[in-house]
Amino acid sequence: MKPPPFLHAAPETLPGALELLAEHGDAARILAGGQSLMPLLVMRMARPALLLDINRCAGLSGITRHDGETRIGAMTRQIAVQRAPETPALLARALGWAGPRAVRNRGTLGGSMAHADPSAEAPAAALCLDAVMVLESRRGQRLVPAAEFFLDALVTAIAPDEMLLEIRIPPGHPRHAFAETGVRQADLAMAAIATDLALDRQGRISAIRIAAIGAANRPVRLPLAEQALLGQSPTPATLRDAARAGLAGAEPPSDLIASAAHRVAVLEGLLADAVLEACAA
Amino acid sequence: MSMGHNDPRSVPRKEDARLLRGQARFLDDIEPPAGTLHAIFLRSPHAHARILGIDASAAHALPGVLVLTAEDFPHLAPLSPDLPLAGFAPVPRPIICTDTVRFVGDLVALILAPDAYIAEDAAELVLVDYDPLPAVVTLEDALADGAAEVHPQAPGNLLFQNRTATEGFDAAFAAAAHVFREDFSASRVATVSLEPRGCLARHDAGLGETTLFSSTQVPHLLRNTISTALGIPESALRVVAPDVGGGFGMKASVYPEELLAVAAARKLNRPIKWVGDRQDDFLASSHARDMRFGVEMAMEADGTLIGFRLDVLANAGAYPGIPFGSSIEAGGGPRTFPGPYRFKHYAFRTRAVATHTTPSGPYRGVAAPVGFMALEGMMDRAAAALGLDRAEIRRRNLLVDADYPFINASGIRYDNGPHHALLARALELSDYRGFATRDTDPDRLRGIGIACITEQTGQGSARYRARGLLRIPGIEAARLKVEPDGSAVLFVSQTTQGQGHLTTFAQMAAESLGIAPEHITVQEGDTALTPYGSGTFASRGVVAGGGAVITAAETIAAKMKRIAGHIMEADPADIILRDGVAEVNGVPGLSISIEEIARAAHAMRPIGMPPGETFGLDTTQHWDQPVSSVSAACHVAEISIQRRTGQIRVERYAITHDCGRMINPMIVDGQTHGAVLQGLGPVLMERLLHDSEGQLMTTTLLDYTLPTMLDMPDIAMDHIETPALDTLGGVKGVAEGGTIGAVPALVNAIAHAMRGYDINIRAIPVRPETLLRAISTKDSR
Ligand SMILES: Cc1cc2nc3c(=O)[nH]c(=O)nc-3n(C[C@H](O)[C@H](O)[C@H](O)COP(=O)(O)OP(=O)(O)OC[C@H]3O[C@@H](n4cnc5c(N)ncnc54)[C@H](O)[C@@H]3O)c2cc1C
Repeated sequence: MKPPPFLHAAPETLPGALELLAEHGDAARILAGGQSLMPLLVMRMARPALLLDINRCAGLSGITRHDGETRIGAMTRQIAVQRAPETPALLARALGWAGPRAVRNRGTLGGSMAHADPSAEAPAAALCLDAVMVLESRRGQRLVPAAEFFLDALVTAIAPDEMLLEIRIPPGHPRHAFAETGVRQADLAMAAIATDLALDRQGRISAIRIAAIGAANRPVRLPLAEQALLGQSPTPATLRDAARAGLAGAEPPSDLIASAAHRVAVLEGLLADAVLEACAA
Repeated sequence: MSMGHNDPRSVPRKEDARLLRGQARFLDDIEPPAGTLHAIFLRSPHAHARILGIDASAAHALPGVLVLTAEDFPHLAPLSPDLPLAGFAPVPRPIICTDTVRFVGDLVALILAPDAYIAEDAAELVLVDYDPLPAVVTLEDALADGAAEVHPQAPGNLLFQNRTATEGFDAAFAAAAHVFREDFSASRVATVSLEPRGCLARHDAGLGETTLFSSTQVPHLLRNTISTALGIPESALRVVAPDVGGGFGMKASVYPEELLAVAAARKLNRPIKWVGDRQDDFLASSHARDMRFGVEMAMEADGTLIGFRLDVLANAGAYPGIPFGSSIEAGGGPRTFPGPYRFKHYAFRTRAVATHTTPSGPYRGVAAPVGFMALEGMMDRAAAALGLDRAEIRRRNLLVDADYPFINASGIRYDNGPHHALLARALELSDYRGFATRDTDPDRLRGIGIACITEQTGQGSARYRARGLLRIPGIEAARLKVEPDGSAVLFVSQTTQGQGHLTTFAQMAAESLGIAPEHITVQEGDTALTPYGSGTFASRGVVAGGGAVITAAETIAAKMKRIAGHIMEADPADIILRDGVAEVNGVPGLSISIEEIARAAHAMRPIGMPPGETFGLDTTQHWDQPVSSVSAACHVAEISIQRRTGQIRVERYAITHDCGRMINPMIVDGQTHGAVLQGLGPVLMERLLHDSEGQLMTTTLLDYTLPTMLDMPDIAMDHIETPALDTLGGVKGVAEGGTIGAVPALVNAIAHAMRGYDINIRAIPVRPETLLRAISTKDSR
């Protein structure tokens, strides 16, 4: 468990970092908190010629509000995101599940998005909240909605010369919940559901977004479940039917942790739990 | 919740201050001497293959890299662990593979480089030409007709087999009112000590002496095995175990890496350092408990046990381990099975099966956690069939005081054992009766499970001879030296990996010496300092090591009394040693300090020694425990299962425990707590998985899920101290019982929670997936 040889660069400015990215492209790999990249390096599953360490780059971290929208710098540590009062509550809750405290002290929000582990909590919360990823390169800036950002397990829309600069989250609905199960307490998610929603005066669901971990090899929204619940009161029967509808076409991974069928069964239960909890909150 | 901390005997552990301050020195903390070569072991990627050729030229081209293969060690004889007893196949273990590899991880080459990074670069450049051969991975594969043979010396892949039946067995079974049958199985697990294995070998060519630092539980055994294999005098090899970050049995074996490090250090006259990583650990440290127990249990109509017939299988992997051999699990399974119950009739067949997988070895409790899952699982099945409460059926069969001394059906002697009291108190502690009042959450299925267990501890030389294990002496020894200032040093033949020996042994010696434990330094783990012994495994610490410590302390105490009597002109029989002084019984105010005695003993006082007495306070004493000592416990686990996910949560946990007289109850509690977690893991989540070709798929801690502190239940614990009659000091061994009890208690609790569902819980781990399937099948009906 020792990495192969690599060059290490630690530019102190964003233009410096983008310059190096433009030059090395595929051969470079950005080092943020290192919580996922270092294990890949020492297992020799990642072999970048250049490790582009952006920990000394100025201006990449911090949380601000703009017209109700929350903007979180990619290098903001997960623990800081979790604790900041500006952070949307659903994202903060999701991060509470994202591994041990020591890992969150070091791991960054941008790293979690860019790494795009199918079991990661923050990407599912971002998808649920319709977050927008700000990608920057020497070629310029582009904004990619979360729905178009997570392409596959460990694959995102980030081009080789681009860096994830910021995560922008528009204002959400008043109620939310995050339900997860894993093999252990506080383990990687085997399956999880993130939801935020609003109720009308009669207690019917007037707006709802649902994202799932474990329903595919990336976080996905469950539009059929969302539609099934819209305008409904959250009774056990509607929840069960909505969960079945939402997961009907799902193609979850089958792996050492759980089979696809088990993931679907668990997700159905989690979906009902999460929506009920959000409505009761 | 345990009371151990409030007991005055629970003195703080001497080892903790330096561990907590980061002052401990583990293997990798030892500064490598100048010129050290760092080692990486090139391992087979195939479960079974012929080696057609090895091309290391590209690797050799890297700066300072050396690649050594079997050709470079022509004199390294393969190791054979087992005596040529009937039932054992004489299968040797090559130290480095010559022409055939037999498991993924088998050792093919030793790569040496100026640092570990370059060594790994070099490892990628060594090209080995393999001709893959058919592999047998599971027990079923290996026993199938026409299965590939792992070794020509082991036809049918049987490394060890044994069968026996007590007299009149068949008739007793035939006459039984009930015979219950079940097959139990356990998935293979890894030990996963926090610190993987590693070693550093240093050769002094001028003196012809080699020092091996190794993260081991058995320094003396290691020295003996290496010197035999390398043909060097034992006196020219020193083995030192530095601080060791956990072993749990896995580090009680001798591994090829240690032998090759010494061989290479001597061949090249360069220090060799190897620090295994987690992948090395998963692939090449011993695996455990890939076992099946087929059980038939005969009972009278009222639930009184008549006897058992067992068919035990253990997947032993590719080679017999050194020194415990191929019978470690297959032999241990039936031996430890009978537990705390009274029955006379016993028959078993047991087989250790060779497969193309990592060799199995001892792991906390060895086969007993699986054996007790079977035994206690049968008790629950019988209770259900006979309509008896699960506690009641146990009461009807547990040994009572009138039974002692009792020799069980596998020949183990019990001097005593408060099994009924343990059960009764555990039912109270767990509020067994109040279970129904807690079983009220509609979202969760709740269950409670009982396990009554025994733990065989402190085996002596006779037991290892009977098992055909000549390499394991079974004895322990202690050298005790009181210095001129009255402080003492105790050198023990064992070595500690977290058991608290430095504290416990000091406390044991203090009892007769009258010297405070803090003035007694315990030294272990260095063959140059400590007398010869077996090592630390199989809960032998206080019984076997402690026997030597007590004998040494009593020997020195007697001599100090003679000297004190001489100085104070009193009868040595009237001298009492306590609190650092020697007092004369019945003569208040007359005393001298132990320091004065020690100075006299070192010719540093005007007064001489008593006539005929030699100078010095220094003795070495050996102890051979004549019969094993049996500890006991009762575990009651209460769990709940989330109805919608199948996820299991441990809600309550109670243990009652007897390990004889306790030296330090806090350490006993700590050992038991840790052991419970190592029983919980294999029940709820741990398993090593191979694909059909024999590739190990769980080689990181992402795939091999270990429980963490968050999965650990609060444990209510009580001790019923029943001093042993067959050991020195009334002690019984401790440390494996937690695991042995946790497995059956949790499995029985899960089975109880699933009552009313169509599922038979008889294999571990119990996966949420299996539970949820049964729950939704019924609930959706
Ligand atoms: C013990 C442990 C437990 C964990 N448990 C969880 C868990 O339960 N849930 C969970 O979600 N995660 C978990 N993780 C992963 C962890 O949260 C990582 O922090 C996170 O996935 C990556 O963030 P990082 O800042 O450490 O990124 P790095 O590890 O530094 O980088 C990860 C990847 O993202 C790329 N990258 C990073 N930043 C950027 C950027 N700004 N622009 C473009 N690319 C970038 C890197 O090049 C690399 O490919 C765990 C990790 C560990 C070690």
